[in-house]
Amino acid sequence: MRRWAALGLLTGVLSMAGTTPTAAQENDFLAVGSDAPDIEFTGATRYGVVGDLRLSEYRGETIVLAFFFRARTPG
Amino acid sequence: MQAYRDQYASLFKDGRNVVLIGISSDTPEELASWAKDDDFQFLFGSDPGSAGYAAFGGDPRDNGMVGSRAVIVVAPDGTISHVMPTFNQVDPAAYDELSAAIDAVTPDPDDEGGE
Repeated sequence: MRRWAALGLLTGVLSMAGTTPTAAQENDFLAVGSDAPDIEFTGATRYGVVGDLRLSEYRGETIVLAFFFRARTPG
Repeated sequence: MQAYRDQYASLFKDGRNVVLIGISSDTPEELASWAKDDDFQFLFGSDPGSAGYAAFGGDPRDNGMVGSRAVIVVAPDGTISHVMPTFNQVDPAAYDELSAAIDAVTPDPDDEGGE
């Protein structure tokens, strides 16, 4: 079972396509065609922190949201 | 996120008509520092507690981190056009799927309206 613990840390790399990363997660993402929620976040670039932003500011362009776990991790 | 940086021109049209936002629960200062050190050319979003992830239907972890490496494409009209609940960043097919999803809703920046 210790091997499963190690695999848990590597699910992003080792999981088979289409599987959920951990059994504990209960993701139920909004359906295609739904209006995207106007989420808020604090923007940051290689030039520094750019302040508070919201998704609706980018209406008119294609937006790709890439959620990730932690800065300074590979992938 | 390094793969997105290295494939930025092909996958995200060099940012023309496409906005890539990498979102995590890190502080904005942490994200800016990493973006500078690793020369990421796209925008990051700091979302402590992962409220934005939850708004899209994701299940944040107890520590506020996102629960999966999800990728969501939002079309120019503001509707969700593609959802990848877990993006497998070592699978070339994942990049092909994402590229096709972007192309499906994004005007070609090199297309001047001709045939």
